[in-house]
Amino acid sequence: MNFGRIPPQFNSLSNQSIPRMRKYLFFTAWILALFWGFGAFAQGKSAKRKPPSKASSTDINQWWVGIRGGMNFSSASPQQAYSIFSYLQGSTAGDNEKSYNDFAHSGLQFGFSLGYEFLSGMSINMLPSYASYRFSYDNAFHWQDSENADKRVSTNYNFETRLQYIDLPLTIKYEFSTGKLKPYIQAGGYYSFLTDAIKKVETTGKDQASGSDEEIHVTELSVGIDDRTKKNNYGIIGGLGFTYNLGNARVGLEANYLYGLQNLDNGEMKFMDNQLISGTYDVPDDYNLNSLSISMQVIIPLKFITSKDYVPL
Amino acid sequence: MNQISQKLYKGFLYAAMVLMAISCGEVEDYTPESSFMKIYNDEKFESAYIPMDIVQAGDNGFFILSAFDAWNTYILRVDEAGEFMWDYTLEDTYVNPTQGLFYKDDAFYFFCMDDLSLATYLMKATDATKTAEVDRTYGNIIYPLHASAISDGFLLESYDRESYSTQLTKLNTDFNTVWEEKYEVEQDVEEPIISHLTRIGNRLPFFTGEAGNTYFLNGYYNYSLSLLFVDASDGKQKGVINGFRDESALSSVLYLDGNNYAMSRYDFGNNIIIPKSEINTTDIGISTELEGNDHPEMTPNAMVHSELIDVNGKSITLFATTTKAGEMLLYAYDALSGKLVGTHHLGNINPYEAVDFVDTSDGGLVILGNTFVNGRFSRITLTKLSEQEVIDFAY
Repeated sequence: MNFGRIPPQFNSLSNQSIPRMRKYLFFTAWILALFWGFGAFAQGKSAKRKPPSKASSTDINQWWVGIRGGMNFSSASPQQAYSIFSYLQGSTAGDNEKSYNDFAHSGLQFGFSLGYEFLSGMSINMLPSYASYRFSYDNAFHWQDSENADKRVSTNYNFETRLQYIDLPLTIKYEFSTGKLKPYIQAGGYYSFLTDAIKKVETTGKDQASGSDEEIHVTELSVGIDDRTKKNNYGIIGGLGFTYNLGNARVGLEANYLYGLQNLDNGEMKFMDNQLISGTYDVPDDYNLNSLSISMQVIIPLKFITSKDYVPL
Repeated sequence: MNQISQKLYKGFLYAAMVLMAISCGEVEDYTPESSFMKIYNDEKFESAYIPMDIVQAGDNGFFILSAFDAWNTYILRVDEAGEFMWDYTLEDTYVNPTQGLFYKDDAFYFFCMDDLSLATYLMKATDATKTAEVDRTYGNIIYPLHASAISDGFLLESYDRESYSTQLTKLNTDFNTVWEEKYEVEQDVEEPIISHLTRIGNRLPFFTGEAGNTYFLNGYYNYSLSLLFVDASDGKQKGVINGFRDESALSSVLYLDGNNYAMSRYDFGNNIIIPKSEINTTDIGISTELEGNDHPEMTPNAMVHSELIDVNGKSITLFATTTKAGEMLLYAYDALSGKLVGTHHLGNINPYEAVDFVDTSDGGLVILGNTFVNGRFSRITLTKLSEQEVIDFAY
């Protein structure tokens, strides 16, 4: 029996070439999207020759800049589970498997947006932002006397990971309406740079062997895991939202789902000893980060600055 | 404005290309065989495993010898990634698993003792049987204390309760007796030996080894724990480094070259590491006269294991021991100069004790230890450092 390396819960990544292939596919798709946008931009050049009188504040060839901010909820998607414990013959398997708490913790993001509308309602957008993501999982272990079930000790660990990134999403956005209220959908990819990573551990336990039925709060620990987390992340993003014209600006609300395509755990450091490994028996799984983010935004068109009649130049 | 727009869009494109270039420098994912830390656990409150020795099974993992519940015998087989393969708890008859574990012809050999007659058994375990069976019984050797492999066979140290003597037996590669020799203690030391074996008292540093045409053994001699040098051809005593009772003694000895040895010793709780010292094996000396470096961070009368390893082409003397803070600690010394190259700590929050280590065929290092899970359950732990991790601290 082999309980140390737990079979993958989702897609197995036992072959290292699979994530690498995913990465290349991702970038290929991303670059294709850019070129597609570039082609559309060329079309936009010819469209610009339309008579100025038919143009509006949301017309073609418009640049938009803005600020945005909001909150997010994340989940870690384990691809390959690991444990410091290897269970001996006759032991109960699976007790050390982590239990992930999906979308249970809120994080924040804020940043800027830069968009280029190359066709009426169709735009390409860069949404650089500073974001913090949080997710957690629980792990529990117990020991019990073979002949006296009351002689039992259990320890529960709650691990909360906080990751901070500079995100660089690039999306293609399509607006459904030309009125004041403009619902839209968008999709694209993102690339992220890690700026900080911390793991907090809360330990609780019950020690019936020492005569207590109460849960005892044991310790709290916070450990930096920058070196144990890959410096970059990438994935695909999809979302929907709306904007509302308010004077020369637009205010809006949008929801995006960021689907990570990369294992974020730094494999070179997986079992390198620290307080987490030998102290709290926590060996990180290979995992991808997914996040649902909700943002408010204010954007303004750049061309209004030079055009008195709202006609794009 | 069109030109500006085009430039800005190209900026998007360039940014994407830069990000692609950055992504190419990312680290590879984890390779289980390269480094790991494992704790072999069961959920039984009453279980207590006390590792004794480890041997690498070619390129196919490791075999661990352990005491179980004080002095019963337990064996554990793990693969090259440290994952559990099989284990076996020997019947209560077979007690006192003796330090000294050998891999020969796809089989694992070790010594243990009969709980009633005190006779020594040679046990053989294989992956095929997944058990350990008696390969040979040595009725005239009682209280086996340590065994080691030498160039043309094996050395087995034991204690003879009848003659109050420490005994050294040389076995050939087929485990047949070549010679045996006794060294008088002059008093009955059965009680501290039983305390040592059953772990109700102090653990004592019994060991044997080879130094060219001389063998050495650390054991009771002339009222004290002493290091004896004996002739390899017949076991006759050549020289001795006397300890004081069992309060001052050598805790490890490693032959380097010529007359040079790397040693460690303790003296009423204090620990001294002697990375390189010239020893005349025909003299009579005293352990407290061996000068070295004080290490107050080590546990009182610490158990020490030392080996000569090759780190990236450099000969390194590596000492493994345990600190008062409950960590496993490795000291790496340049074998030529005797100077400290680096140290490496393992273990946090819960207690960890270093027991043994082996340098693996891939340039890594596997450290066998004893840990107390949750601070209380005695379990076997195995840590593998990758070749790069070893170079980082020991080169």
